[in-house]
Amino acid sequence: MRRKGPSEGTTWLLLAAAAVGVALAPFTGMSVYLMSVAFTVMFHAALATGWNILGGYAGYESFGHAAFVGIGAYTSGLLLAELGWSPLFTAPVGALLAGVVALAVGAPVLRLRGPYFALVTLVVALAVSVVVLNLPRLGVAAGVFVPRPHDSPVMARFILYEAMAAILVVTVVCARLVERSRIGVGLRAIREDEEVAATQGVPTTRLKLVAFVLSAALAGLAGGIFSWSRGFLDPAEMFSTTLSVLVVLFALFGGRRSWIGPVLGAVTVTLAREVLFVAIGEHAAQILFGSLLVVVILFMPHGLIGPRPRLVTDGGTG
Amino acid sequence: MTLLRAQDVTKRFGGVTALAGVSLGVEEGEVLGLIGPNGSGKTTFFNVVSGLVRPDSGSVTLDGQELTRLPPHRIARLGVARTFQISRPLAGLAVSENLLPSLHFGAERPREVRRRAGELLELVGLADKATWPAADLTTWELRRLELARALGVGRRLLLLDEIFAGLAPGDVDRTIELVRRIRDLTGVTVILIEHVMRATMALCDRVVVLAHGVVVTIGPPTDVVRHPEVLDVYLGTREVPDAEG
Repeated sequence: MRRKGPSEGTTWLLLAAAAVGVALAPFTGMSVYLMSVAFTVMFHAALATGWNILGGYAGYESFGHAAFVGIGAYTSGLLLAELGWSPLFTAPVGALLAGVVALAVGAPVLRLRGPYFALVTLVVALAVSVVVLNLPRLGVAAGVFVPRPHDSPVMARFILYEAMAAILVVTVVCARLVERSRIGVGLRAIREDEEVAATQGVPTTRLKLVAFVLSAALAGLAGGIFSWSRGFLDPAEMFSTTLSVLVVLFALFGGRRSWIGPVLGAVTVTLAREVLFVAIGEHAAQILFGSLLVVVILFMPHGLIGPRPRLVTDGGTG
Repeated sequence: MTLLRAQDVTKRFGGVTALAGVSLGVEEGEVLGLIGPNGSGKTTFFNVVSGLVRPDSGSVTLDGQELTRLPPHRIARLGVARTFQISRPLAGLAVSENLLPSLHFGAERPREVRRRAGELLELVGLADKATWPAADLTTWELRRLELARALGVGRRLLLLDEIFAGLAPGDVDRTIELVRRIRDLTGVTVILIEHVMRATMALCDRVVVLAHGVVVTIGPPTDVVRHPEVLDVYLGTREVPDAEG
């Protein structure tokens, strides 16, 4: 692989610069509103990029990503509310639990492909949310209040912004490492033709599971910060099917070959939603937005980043 | 020395018996032809050896190691690789990227992968198309891509499924040369499913004739084509087997 090549180093440097820029942006005097929009944008970008590790690289499109967001959100939120732990610890615990659930669910579910996989992930996610909803202490009736990061709303927003920025960076670094590694090679082969991949020596079952667990853990991580921002654990919000679908749309819209696609997709779609909501009202915006998305998916099947981001590839002689 | 040994391999699909107790041995370093009318079980045999299909009974061993209970990727890593009757490139990837899975998950060290991919593309004459989308290749180029890909992991045994089918006469000759060169360079053992008799006669040390999942005869190509039962069942003197598709 070209891990030591100059272009590779430059890319990491650019990424680091972008990360620093994002982290410093609030110091330019961002309003609370802007910080909260940016928080949502980064939350969505992190989810889409994590989803893409399995959904994009390997082509296994899960429609239940929010289940792992919810598991992370509840785990982290409860530890925060009950034990008063710092989210620095609670979010990783949530990620761990999301990963463990993915590991348990993945083995049977990853045998299915295409629409069957999509449907079953959707159903599993609904089942998880129903279970949580009906747990006596966690249900919406009882509810759990999660302490805010700070008494001052500005400071609270600032802390949340930086926390989500950190999670986005972690997610992008993970996705990019996977993309550039042998695992990425295997996942792409699985996407193109799983049977052929197996006959080339690719341990397909294991790689899919690794991708699923990583993808779920990253969602759990982001979920932990999400519940911290909400102040209240609401199953409908933490296990939102709409969010599951949105995550898929972000990745489709941006392009799935590389981590940059889901990030771009999440940024543009989330901002467009925000603007349209304000401009023409929620329902009109949803309709307009939905039809626009259909058009884009029909006419730009590879998303914003296009079909082939790089022509000269690893292993090439040129 | 026998590299691959199949013993009483039987595989049924519903009411159809694709393989009915096939036994054969493949000697180290030989090119073995596998011929027979359509539906005689040739590709099913490849599927069994490469692990895509689990036989109902019987055993297949490579150097004494049982293959029938291993998943396909483990069999590949033992050095058994195949091509597909209808080419199956990783169509969304570049030509050189098609070689990466077998090289990365086969035996190569990460550092060697790039150089090795270049060598393999050079060998099959696709070096100048390394960055092309695999989907843009012609039939013959796809066959050679599959050959290179198989060589990436197939150090011991190559299963070539009709790599000559549909090629122009000149390309058949060039592919015969290519298979010879690969065999001489690597010493790899080859099983060849082939309908193009010219290629079979030119390349094979021995030929196995399958019909209805049963081995009719095994022998040198010149003997096999004169074998009365083969003429009957395969080349068809009296009852011509359905030869379409």
